[in-house]
Amino acid sequence: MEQDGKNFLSPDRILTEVRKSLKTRNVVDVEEDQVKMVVLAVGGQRYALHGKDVKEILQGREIHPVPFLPTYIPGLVNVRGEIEAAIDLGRLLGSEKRPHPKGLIAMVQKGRFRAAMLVDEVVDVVDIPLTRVGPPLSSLSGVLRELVSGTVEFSGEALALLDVEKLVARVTP
Amino acid sequence: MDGLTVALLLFRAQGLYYGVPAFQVLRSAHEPWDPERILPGLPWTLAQDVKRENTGLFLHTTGEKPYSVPIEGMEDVVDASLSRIRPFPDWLEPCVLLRGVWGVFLRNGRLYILLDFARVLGQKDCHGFIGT
Repeated sequence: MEQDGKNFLSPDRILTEVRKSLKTRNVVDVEEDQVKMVVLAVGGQRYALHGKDVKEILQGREIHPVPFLPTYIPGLVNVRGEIEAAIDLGRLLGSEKRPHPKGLIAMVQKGRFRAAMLVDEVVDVVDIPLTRVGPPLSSLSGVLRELVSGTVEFSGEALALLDVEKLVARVTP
Repeated sequence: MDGLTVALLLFRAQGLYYGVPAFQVLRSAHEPWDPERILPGLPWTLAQDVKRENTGLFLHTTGEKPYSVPIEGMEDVVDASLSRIRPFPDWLEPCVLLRGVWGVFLRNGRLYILLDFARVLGQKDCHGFIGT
């Protein structure tokens, strides 16, 4: 199996491992309720959002500045002819002033609230067993503490689960 | 809404593009500035070169007490179809409306911020400034 210090798996072994992995996943599907999560990266940090609150992911586009808006709303974006407010998630979460991210836009919607959330990266869209969703970490502070409703275990990391409803309450005048 | 239009005067100020209902503007002129007559509450300030050279391009508002609005340049006067005008998102509108910003006009890929000079002045009641 080992040659020149590297692992060489035979096709049979690979299939065995793959089947084992699929079987494990199937068992999880049957036994545990799952919830869809979108894992985002902003300012070097990863966060999770409930998948039901994220309507689509779009390529970044021009942001049209508008006067009188708070710094975390850098302006408006044109999404297929509809005008949406852009929310710089990094700024909202308290990051220092930084260039507007040109990465991606996560269109979030909750009731009548709809906005274009600027993020650096969409890391993954995953089904997470409910057992891996826990209460917020007590170590959270500042704005993040107000916007988080839980913790999601993802790839061995405890991610803050952002609550869009709390976010709406925060940004709505 | 098809077929309804509104006359908009489009201009630039401090790097952004704006539009205002044309009936709110009496004329535009390149002239000396009078600090007493500048419309208060504008989202931009008087350009430094206007102060330095003491002249600039101004719009003159209509109304009982006309004001001067310093701008960088005129863009156009257009009959804008209402289908090209968008309100601000519901949750944002109350915030900007109080300051005189009432919508956006989409034209050739550019987004013009629509102002209501009467609201900028703090007058809440501005009858029928759209589609009439």
